Amino acid sequence: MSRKLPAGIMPDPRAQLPELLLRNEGKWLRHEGMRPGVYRHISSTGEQCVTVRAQLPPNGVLSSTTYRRLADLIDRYALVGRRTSRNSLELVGVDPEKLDGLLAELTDLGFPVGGTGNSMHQIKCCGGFMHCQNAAVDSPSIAKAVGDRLFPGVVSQDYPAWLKISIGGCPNQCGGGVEADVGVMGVFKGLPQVDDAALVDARCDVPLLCFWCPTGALKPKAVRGGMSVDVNAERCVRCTSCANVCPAAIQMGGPRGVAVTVGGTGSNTGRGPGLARLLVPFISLESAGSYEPVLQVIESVIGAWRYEAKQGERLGDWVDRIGWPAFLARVGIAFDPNLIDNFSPMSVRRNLQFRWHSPTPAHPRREAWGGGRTGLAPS
Amino acid sequence: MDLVEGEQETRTPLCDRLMDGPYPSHVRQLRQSGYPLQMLEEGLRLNRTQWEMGGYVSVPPLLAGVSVIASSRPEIAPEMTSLRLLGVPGGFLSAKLLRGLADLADRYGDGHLRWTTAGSIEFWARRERLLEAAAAANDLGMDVGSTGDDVRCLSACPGSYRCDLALVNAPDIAYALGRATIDDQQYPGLPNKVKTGVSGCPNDCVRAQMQKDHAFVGVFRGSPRVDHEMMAWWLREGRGMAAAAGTTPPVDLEFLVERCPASAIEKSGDSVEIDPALCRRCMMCINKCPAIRPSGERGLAWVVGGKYGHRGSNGPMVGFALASFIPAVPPDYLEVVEIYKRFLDLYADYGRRKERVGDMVVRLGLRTVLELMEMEADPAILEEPSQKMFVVWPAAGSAEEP
Repeated sequence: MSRKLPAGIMPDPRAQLPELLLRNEGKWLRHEGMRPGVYRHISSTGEQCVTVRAQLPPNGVLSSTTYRRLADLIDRYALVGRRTSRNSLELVGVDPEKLDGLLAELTDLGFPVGGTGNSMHQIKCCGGFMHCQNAAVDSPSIAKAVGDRLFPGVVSQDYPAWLKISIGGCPNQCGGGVEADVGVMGVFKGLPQVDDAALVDARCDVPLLCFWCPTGALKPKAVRGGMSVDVNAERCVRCTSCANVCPAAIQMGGPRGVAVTVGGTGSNTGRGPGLARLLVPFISLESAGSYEPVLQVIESVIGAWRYEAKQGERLGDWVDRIGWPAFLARVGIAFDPNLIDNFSPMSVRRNLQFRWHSPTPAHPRREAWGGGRTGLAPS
Repeated sequence: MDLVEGEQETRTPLCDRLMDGPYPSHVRQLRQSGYPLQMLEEGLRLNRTQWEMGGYVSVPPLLAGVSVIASSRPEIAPEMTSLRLLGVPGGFLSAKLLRGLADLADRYGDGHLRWTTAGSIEFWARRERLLEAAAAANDLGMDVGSTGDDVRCLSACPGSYRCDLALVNAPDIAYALGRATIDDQQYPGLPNKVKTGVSGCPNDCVRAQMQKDHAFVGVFRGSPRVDHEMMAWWLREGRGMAAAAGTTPPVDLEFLVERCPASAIEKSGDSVEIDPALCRRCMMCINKCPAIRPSGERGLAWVVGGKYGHRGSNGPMVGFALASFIPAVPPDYLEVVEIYKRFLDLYADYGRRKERVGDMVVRLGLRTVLELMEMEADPAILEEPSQKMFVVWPAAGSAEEP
């Protein structure tokens, strides 16, 4: 082959852009929703650009057949496609006259239109068992189960604010979670299993391994032929860093399950970007496909938020307002001492402004949001 | 579950369940391709991924862009080799590019593609045809890279090409950064990955502050300006139209006043006034009301150290804003590119092996990072001054002692 590889080409965004967007660059004045999943931008030139947002399968997995079908839809109805940062697909520059036809065709393809404004946005998730060697749980099938259960939230816009759910198959969180209103993260409950002989054979860098451990749980030790490490069970937090540095010799073991976090925000509006907080440290997933306990926690959280939050109040803002003890009671989840961060003193109060909570008021709609049905209720 | 034309028929009862239900199904897509669905079926049956140790490998002359994952079930699939393409900043994909990518996946792989969560495009490619596939991608204006310890997933929001809120042209800035550091995207030579993002405004739709190690976010220096004439139109018609379309609940002046986190908005007659001294430029009122728009000079804040992963000494982190305002001057954005490259050099020199940017800057100290960057510390980046009197004064007799 005579060509130079790699060729050193940075993909040029302008090469993809239609004339409408090039000539209106920097001239857009405002945007407005037209119906769930459809919105338009209006330019100072008087032109408008209609965008349709379709929900795609977990992890943005698409067949080449689907790529061609989407290309045909762009040719017939719009000017260009766009991948959003949550891996949904937008068709940009849609001819407003043909909107109904496009919506019908997208629905036929299995890609419902929605996920804009105060709805459940595209569920972001990693590759899980489909593509990844590190996954503790199969995040795409969890995403599918959550999406199916909360589907009305995708295609209507009657949440207090928008809701973003991210699902990562392991603590590396390629699928996200810490940035989302609700995050689900795959967890290994067992200690990392170290194979001393394999570690020596793999010429694993032991000082690097120890440096990577965030809690100082690894201690070097001499073994036949070289060095290995001991894992301190009192300090290991199952972050998987060591298994990542030396996968040939260190494997995560034990029961697998998920942790659920709430209240992450990425944007600067309101209180600004902040990491989600731990709500449930471990829900055991004995078999792939039985996600009911996870679904119940998520439903309960969202149900209580929908009922109690003010208009425009995101999940994390609402939890901040009512306080964590009241929040736990609302969603029917017992306080777990593991919610206290044992490796940083920052999660315990240094003031006496306690947020006592009164018992959850019995409300006729409580059943509807699943309060107390989580199986994790205080006994 | 009914198969549609072109879908493979296999005995995969657990996968098949994932084709039912209203939410889009990944299994349906995989079934339309040559993906070895039995691998996923067995994974679900045994509740354990059937893929084994893998990683990013160099296939000279491609030092980045290829990942290989081993299989614990060679009788189903011997291994998985993927080629990763640099994403288009802004995420725009023309019909022509979509067709070209479909051809690549059919010709060199098994006919399915996926987007990584930070915006690169990945498809399976047979090991013996990787170089051919990379050359074919070049013909589409695309290239391989963005795996391993290099500049990764340089992504941007649609910016001023399609957004009224964008303060800067994010895709063009990402493109400028990408051209200037194309080698860093194709040759892994850094301590760990450096995910990079450019967001057009503080709404930060690409999660530059949280997902990215090294990022720029559009900011404005003035205060939100209220167009009272447009406010009258919006209250009369605009917000009602949106509400009637069932898309947004009607937002009114009280909502703007109440939701402002800085209490900078006050009702004034049939409109509002915003106190520029209190305003934090968080975008809330601008997002909700088109009669309120940013004003003043526009530029970029520089943020480093965000990450999602629960790994390394600090786990997941929100990035630190180390500069509040960098001029964004088209077409080359030289000042931004210069800071971007200078920090990559600093990371290459000071980062320990496999240490992410966020962990490095915490270890070095943020003031030290600014000194190493030869940048003047800017009071706007201060959340609050130190609570401790710990100051490292220059040693007596040292060159820095006054």
